[in-house]
Amino acid sequence: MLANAVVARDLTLALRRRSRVIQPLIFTLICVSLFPLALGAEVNLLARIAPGVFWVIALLATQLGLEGLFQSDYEDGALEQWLLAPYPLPLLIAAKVFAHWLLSALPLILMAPLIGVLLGMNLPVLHALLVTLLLGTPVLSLVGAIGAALTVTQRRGGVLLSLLVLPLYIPVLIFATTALEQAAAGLDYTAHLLLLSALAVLALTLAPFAAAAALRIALE
Amino acid sequence: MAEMPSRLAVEGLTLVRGEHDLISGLSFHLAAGTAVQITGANGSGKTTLLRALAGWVRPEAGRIIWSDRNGPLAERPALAYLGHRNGLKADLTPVEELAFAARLHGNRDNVRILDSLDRVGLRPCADRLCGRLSAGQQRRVALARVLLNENAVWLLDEPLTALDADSIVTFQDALMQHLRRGGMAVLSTHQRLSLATECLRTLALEASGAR
Repeated sequence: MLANAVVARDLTLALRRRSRVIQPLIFTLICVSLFPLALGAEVNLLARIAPGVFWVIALLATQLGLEGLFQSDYEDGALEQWLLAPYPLPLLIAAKVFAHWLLSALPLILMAPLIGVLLGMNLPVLHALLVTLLLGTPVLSLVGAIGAALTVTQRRGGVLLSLLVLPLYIPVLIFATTALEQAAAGLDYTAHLLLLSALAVLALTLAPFAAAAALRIALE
Repeated sequence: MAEMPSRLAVEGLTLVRGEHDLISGLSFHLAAGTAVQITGANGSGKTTLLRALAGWVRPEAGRIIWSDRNGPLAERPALAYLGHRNGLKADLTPVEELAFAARLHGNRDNVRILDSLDRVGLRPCADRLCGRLSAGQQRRVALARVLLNENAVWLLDEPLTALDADSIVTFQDALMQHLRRGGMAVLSTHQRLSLATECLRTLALEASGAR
């Protein structure tokens, strides 16, 4: 499968520049450890704000790797080679976004239990956090890909990218954090998970096409 | 070569860059087994013309028609494009790059990869990172990628940049072989090519449009 080749290529590239893989993790750890320092180590307070804090940090961490998602391929001409392929561009983009998700969101999800314990989350909340992250982070990567494709011609497009993409992240943030609040209160949060899933499906079906259209315009 | 286009016809092509016309009313045609060399001053639209032929730049007016024996094709044929940027990652080796390029074209024959590296004389560098290769060697890797998939149409933007004398000869041999097999090529270069004259035409672009 071609998609495998795209993912394997991006992972190989990332592993040859390890700093790119490690940076989001360090960023997350540092951000998380700043909160107890700033707010005091009162366990009740931390446990209450922890889910929200973690989600905001997840948003920012996904944001880190986004700028380079298509930029290097655009600048070194690799993107032109993709356009020659007899495969649909959205498929290639979806594969690339998946690689981005593997590198930026998956480590975060794996780290979540540890951080959850550090912030004093209880088990049901931790469980809800993992589920919302699994459903929500793909949306972040996919929507981010549209922004990355739109700003691919901007040399320093990082700020513009944040301005474009962060507002679109708000629904994910709201549904995820309300689900976590419900979980903390011991209530049922299935509805929020369903809404998150709907967002994920929507992003998965539309974002690769939108990003492909943006890249074609960039290359014209 | 899966589909073999036998003719390219460009009719009244007008390409616009920003506000002004770059190329206006350009017409030419190209038959299988021939190449056209585009010459012209910097900024006369050579690259834009190649990109329009690749289908990435929409013409303001005019048509680009690829046809085979049975008449016009609905889509542009599979082609190999070499831009002025090589499209190579500094952190990958030539073999990895070519393997990926082959996969992009649905081709998984690893023999061909080493074979095309051999043809550009880069077999010894097959497993070094592209970032460690010289500019000329990187250009040769990109040329190896053109050879790799045996596409019927080659669009080459300044293919000879950074190449040494031997590599230029190798390139011309490869191009000649491609044409003899019924391929087509459109290339922009300022260097005089020593191809058989019946195979090569030149097309001079002027700053205000084509002659």
